[in-house]
Amino acid sequence: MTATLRFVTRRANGRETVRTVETASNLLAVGRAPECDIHLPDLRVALRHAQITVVSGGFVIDASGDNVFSVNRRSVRKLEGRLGAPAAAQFGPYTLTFSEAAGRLVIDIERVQQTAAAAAPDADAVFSLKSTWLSKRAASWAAALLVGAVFLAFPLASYTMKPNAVAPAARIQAGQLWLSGELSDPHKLLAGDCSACHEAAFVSVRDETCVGCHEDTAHHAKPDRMTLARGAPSMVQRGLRTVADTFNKPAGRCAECHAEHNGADGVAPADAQSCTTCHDGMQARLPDAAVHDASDFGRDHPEFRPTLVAVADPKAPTLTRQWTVPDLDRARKEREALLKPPAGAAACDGFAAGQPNFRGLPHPGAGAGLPESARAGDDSGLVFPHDVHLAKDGCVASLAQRLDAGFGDQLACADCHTPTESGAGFLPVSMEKSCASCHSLVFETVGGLTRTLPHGQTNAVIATLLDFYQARVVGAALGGEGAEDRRRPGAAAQRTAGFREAAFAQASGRAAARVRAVFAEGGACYGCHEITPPTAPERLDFAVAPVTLRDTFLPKGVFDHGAHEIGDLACADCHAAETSRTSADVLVPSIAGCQDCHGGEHAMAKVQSSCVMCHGFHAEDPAAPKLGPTRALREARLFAPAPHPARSLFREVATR
Amino acid sequence: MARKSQALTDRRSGAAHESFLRHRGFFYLKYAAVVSVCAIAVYALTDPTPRHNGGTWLGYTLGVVSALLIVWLTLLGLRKRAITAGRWSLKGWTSAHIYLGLSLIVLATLHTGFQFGWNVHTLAYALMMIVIVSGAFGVYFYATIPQRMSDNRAEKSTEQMLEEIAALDDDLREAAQPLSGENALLVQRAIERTRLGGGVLERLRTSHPQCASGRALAALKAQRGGSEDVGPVTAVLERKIVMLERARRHIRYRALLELWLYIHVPATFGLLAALIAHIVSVFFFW
Amino acid sequence: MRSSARNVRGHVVMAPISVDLAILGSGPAGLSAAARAAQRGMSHVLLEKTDHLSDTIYKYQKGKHIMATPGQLVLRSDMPFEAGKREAVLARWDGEAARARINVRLRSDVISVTGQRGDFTITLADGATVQAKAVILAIGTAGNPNRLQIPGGDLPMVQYQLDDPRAYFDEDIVVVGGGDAGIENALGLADPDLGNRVTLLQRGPDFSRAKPANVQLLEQARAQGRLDVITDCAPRSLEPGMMIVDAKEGELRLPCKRVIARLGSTPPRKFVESCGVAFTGPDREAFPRLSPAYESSVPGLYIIGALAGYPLIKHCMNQGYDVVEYIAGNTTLKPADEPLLEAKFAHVPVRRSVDQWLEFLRTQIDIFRELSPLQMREFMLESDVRFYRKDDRIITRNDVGSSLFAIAEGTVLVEIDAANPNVTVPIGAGQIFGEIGLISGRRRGATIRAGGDALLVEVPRSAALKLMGTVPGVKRRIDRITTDRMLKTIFGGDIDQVRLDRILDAATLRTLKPQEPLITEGEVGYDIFVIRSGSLVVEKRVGAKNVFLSYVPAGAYVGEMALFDNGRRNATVRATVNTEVITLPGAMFKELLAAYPNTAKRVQEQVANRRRVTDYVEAQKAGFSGVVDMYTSVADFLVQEGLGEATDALLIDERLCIGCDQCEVACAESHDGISRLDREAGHTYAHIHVPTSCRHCENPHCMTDCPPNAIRRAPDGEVFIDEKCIGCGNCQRSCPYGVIQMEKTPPKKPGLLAWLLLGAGPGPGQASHAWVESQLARRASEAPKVAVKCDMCKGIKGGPACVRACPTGAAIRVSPEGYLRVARMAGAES
Repeated sequence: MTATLRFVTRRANGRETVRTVETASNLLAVGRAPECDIHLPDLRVALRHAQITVVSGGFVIDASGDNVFSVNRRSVRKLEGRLGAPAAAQFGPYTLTFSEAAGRLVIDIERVQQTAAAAAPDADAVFSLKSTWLSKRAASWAAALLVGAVFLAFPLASYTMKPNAVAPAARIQAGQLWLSGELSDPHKLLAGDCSACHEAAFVSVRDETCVGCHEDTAHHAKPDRMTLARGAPSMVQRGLRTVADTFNKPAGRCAECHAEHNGADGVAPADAQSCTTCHDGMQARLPDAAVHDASDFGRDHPEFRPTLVAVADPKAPTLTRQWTVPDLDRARKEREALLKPPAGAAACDGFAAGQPNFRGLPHPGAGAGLPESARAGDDSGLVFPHDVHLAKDGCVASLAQRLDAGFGDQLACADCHTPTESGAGFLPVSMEKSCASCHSLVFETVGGLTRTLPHGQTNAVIATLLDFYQARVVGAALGGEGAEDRRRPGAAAQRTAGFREAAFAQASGRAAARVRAVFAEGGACYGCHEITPPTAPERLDFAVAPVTLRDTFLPKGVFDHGAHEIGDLACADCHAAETSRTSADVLVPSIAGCQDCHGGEHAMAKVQSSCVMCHGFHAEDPAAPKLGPTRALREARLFAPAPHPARSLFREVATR
Repeated sequence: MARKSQALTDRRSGAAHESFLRHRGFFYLKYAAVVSVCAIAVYALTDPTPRHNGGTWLGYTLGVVSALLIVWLTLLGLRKRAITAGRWSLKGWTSAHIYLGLSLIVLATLHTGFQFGWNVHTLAYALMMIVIVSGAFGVYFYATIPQRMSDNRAEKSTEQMLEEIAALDDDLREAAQPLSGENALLVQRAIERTRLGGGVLERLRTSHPQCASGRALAALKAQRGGSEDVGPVTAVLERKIVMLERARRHIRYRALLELWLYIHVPATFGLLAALIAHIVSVFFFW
Repeated sequence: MRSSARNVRGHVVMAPISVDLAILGSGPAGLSAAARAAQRGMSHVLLEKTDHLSDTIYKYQKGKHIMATPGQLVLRSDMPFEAGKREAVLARWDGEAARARINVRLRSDVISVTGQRGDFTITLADGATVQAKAVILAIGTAGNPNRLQIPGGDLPMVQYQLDDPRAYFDEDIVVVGGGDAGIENALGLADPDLGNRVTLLQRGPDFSRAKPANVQLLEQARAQGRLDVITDCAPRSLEPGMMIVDAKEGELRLPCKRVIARLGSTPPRKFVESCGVAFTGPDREAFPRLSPAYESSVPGLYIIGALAGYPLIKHCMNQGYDVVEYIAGNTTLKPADEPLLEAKFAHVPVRRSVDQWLEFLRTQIDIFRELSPLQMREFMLESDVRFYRKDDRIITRNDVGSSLFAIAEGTVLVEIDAANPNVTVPIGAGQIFGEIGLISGRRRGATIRAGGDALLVEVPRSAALKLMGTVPGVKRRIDRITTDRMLKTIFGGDIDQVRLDRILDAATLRTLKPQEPLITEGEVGYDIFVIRSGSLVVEKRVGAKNVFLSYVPAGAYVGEMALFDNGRRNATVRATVNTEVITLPGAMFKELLAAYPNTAKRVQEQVANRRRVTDYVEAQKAGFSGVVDMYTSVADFLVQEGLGEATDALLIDERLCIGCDQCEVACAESHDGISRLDREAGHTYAHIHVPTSCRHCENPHCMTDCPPNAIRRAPDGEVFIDEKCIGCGNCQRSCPYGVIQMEKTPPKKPGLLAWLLLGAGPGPGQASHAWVESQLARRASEAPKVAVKCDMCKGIKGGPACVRACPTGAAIRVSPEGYLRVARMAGAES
């Protein structure tokens, strides 16, 4: 019993190569060893893998050792087959197919699996990273889409969707993603809601929005004048302007000066720049402007021009700014020359003696006064010589010592001038608080009961005196105290009539004398006030000149006295009060004094002082017109009836 | 004279024998330097209100310049793939890409005015820095690897390397024919399970203890003088391993030359997206 | 094949055959002629050696695309023909042959043709004879394969060609003959996949005749044991299943089922001459002398097709038609190419008929005198007629041009002094110029302008070479003129002709193989050598090694230093590539210098320069500087890499190359998707890598054998292949640097953005084969394979894309002078 071996090699183009071998023996060795009848040169096959025994009508495959071979995917160690019954055995990559031809066993040996080498890998796949899972394209898409979704789509969505459609938290989150910089403290709690200020997309923040909250802020000046004041922009400015316009950032918006998103420091511009754009050389552009040009405190700032009283009037005083501090100082010097100081204690006497009054200024109707050149000064209507009050000796000092009212050996500024809480300025000086302790208005003490004149209304003073004294006289006449020596009965009756007439006449006479005395030299009023004598000698219609005291002479600027309590810096260092002899004197120091320490914004060795250190932008005086909800805004409201988002947010927070 | 002018045009057109770093005598380096210095100078000399940030005229200018620059730098990817006619030189582009890219560090940083926060604006900045830094790595590798790679591959093309190894595998099959089960299996594994390339990390690795061939060699060497004569096989294996090492070094170099791009490019596109978001957000909340 | 069957029966009945017209060879020419004859009802027989029609095309590999060039030439034949697959074309012709009732006689190997007009006797190998009044030889140039002249050589197991090696498997096969054909067949058969047992027999000790590449492959296969090679042996006898071979060791008995004998073939010339036909000259390239009606020197014997010098199918078919018409007495018939020629003369102000023109030129220009009107016609098809007005520039100094100009009328002026265009030498009517470019492949040496109205014929290089081959006299004349002009350009125009002629008579031409030394250092000799083509390197032996001194291109001269060093050669000069030098006797040269002081001055200057270099090296002798050493070795390397004959080559500085293959991508992108360079392949030295890409040789090897003359040199020196390419693959075979590939034009790729964004298509660069195939499969139209090679991005603004697209500046293109710069740099840096 022998077999036919057909070694089949299938080729790339599908054709078969068949080498046919007729075997003599019926024992066929299968294995990798070359001497095997069925030589299977593959490492997966053992050297002597198995033996096929060809028996009559069939065959037997015996795997040698612990080798196995597989028959339809099951690994076996032995296979018996009948002739004619098709069978196949798998040895490594080879398939042995058993069939029958002309009574002979035919074994087809074919390699089915390709050799490893056959599949040559593409070089690039091996050597280049392209073959790894890495993919630039995928990663790029991922990165772009992720960023786009989180940082573009999400904020846009949360903005465009209705407020109530988005959770506040998400809204705030979205806002944070786009927040370009920390908000100023006052606006902090708007951070959650960009649309509070950025009302419309791609539209720069509008003034209406700001005004929505800052209604009460006053205008700086009339817009038209401001544009005039700004003057013709430079080349660069015009360039920037055009850019700004093309990108829809109109000029003169609040936000132009008040740049937000620059940290907690706030939105108020601290630089001179925004001021000087107008105020540098503004006179040229606005000749009728009240303010003078200024560009730098150190180099280019006008002298102070105190706002003074021209015509005193408690209700509507007439004010003037015609003089600068140096003018005033010059005038003061002249006055001092004219008004010889009464030496030492004589001051008080002189005070009594009828010298030209200490107001230093001729009062309307007060006849002769000072030469024109010496008239520069504040006409408060009050008579007050600082020097006398601050003198080391003299009546004031001695009075201060005598009185037990906490004064030292002499008066100090602080005795009359009380700083405000902030310490920035001073409370207004008032008769009651500052003067009364010395300048008593007591005119009579009867039985330990002091009678005081009312301060302020002349008529009241006159009335008080008349009433008091006439009453006393009348009381005496009725036998009250103060009556003359007693008379006998019987004779009194006929004497009484004449006696009464005389009493009345004497009483009214004495009262009038008292009144005259109050207003007369040495009287309570006379010292500090300008008195207009009665229209006729017998009449009593005295008049006291009106008084208007300014609490600040420089209303346009703010000077923080508190901030200047440095070392032993005393009031006198700036205010020449000791030598001031008349109340006309204005003790505001000259700007030169400030400039000793303060320089301009970019000053090197001085305190860098920009405009806003002293000046506010928005007009302080209550009279100034307010930004208010402008017409434009009101219209805007009409279209957007909802309460202003910022407002509502504030309310929201407030109610929390 | 003629030679000279020739050399000149060569340099312009980038045809001269000059590396991408020293292209046209460091033209773009100088250019970028000047730009950066100017930017710094202006930044230092101007004092905008209330402070330096993206919103000042300088800020906007720097922003616009930087944005355009970023877009232009991104276009390198297009340039190198769109092989159009014209006197452009990719070397020149690369040179410009590198130096102008680096100048972005200055321009963009000044644009921020050193205002950073957890927002899209800083994200864009951060992404940009990532791109630039990864790019810097790229430059380093481009400058250092090629010579080593050239030495390593010793005139062999990658195909040839693989062919060599495949050929050695065939030799292995031959040599291993007489071997019995165990050893045959080892060799079989060495042939079938020896892996080249593989994952990213594996490519970067310098030693490959898991290499089937290496193990097979070790195992066979261990039993030198044993029953079987493994001499021929080990000889072939040793040769194969030398080849493998060469190939793996090459793979490693290639990986180093390519890997950084897998950060550089995606980051760039992230950056572009962030940039768009940044610009939109700025104009949206204008 | 039905037709053949019928005719085979036919020939059994009728013998001896007697016809008016016997046509030998059933190629395109023969078939066309036979078809015409059949059409005209002439009694004819078409004799075919093999058992099938048009054997040459039949032998093309399967599925080869056959082109129909030149496009503008109209086909005039009863046989249809258009470009298509080999099978299609053959089937069509077989069908037509049958339909046209052509009387074909297959297996008719003609042994002899005797007699003359009216009475020819044609004897066939099988003893039959054919009587014919006229005979047309259309047997082509393939010739007959040399037979295996041993006992049993005629057994059916012997075959002389191998169409498809894959047709045979699991056989014992003996291949006889170690030429390229033999080696290629043997390798094909030895494919392990086929399981053949192949033995290659070679008579000589080595494979000198074969291309190195092939030999290398053979050695490789042998080392791998894929086949057995036996050299120094000769087959003795053959018997079924066995071949007895005489080998060095003695008798060898090889089991063999099949014998492939590739013993080369005898060119048909012998046979043709045996018929009494005269040739134009002894040279291999010579053609039979023919009349305008294709009649040979034997009246009544006509020769057409490749044998007559027309390699293109269309030509052949047209001639087949024409010749039969002539034989039939139709004299008025104008050749099919008439319109083409008319077009060539169209722009000349003078009006003449084509024939008059051809006659005019032939008589005017002496190098054309020996041409037959037919050859003249042939030439004009390839050449151009140019008409110039006074002072028109014809060629410009330093332009690249390898065409030859012949002056038909008027004179031209050669500006021999580059500085001063007024110094000119006239060349008169009948003369030629431009030959130096033709011979050396160098740039033009001088500007030449028209002296007055001039009518010139510009003959392209290939045509000129063919001309020189065809007409021996022309070659001699051109050689002399060349030498003469070279000397003139070297030594200035003022040299007098008498003296020059004496030198020319004494001058001898010598050709050097690569690396062959021309001068050896230390020897004594006075001769001066002018390099005609190729190039040389000058080396000096310092210590143990040769130091590279300089590179001498064609057109320059060496050896003059000896004159000043009393004959001692102080450097070695050797060829870099195949080089032709003209040897001038030193003595004559000496007196020449004596006679011409300013020439002497120029020479001395050059000597001074060279001396400086030598002295420098001498100085280095002591402590040998590594720089010089490196410089030398790099230079050597570059020269070995064939840059010695390069005009412009691509180098890659591997210290910069990041292996991104941008160069290949760029190349593919700018040349319809096929990269013409392989960056990784090629040799590297000192990190200077010479990738596989065209060097644009001075004398391009690829040009040597291009049937449609599709390979040309552009004005700027680029060697390129134009659309005439028929995909024969000759250039690929003849390029020693393997830079030409046969490729199908790949299909269009999706747009760049589509790839960038979505990854559509294979992306930039050469698409993977898999992708291309899949695309081509989709659209049924089969794309022909054509030869592609670097054309230096000719016509693309910005120049070579590979260089422009290199991101790191590693890729540079250099001229021979340039690469030495590179070498110096490499030397300096490494």
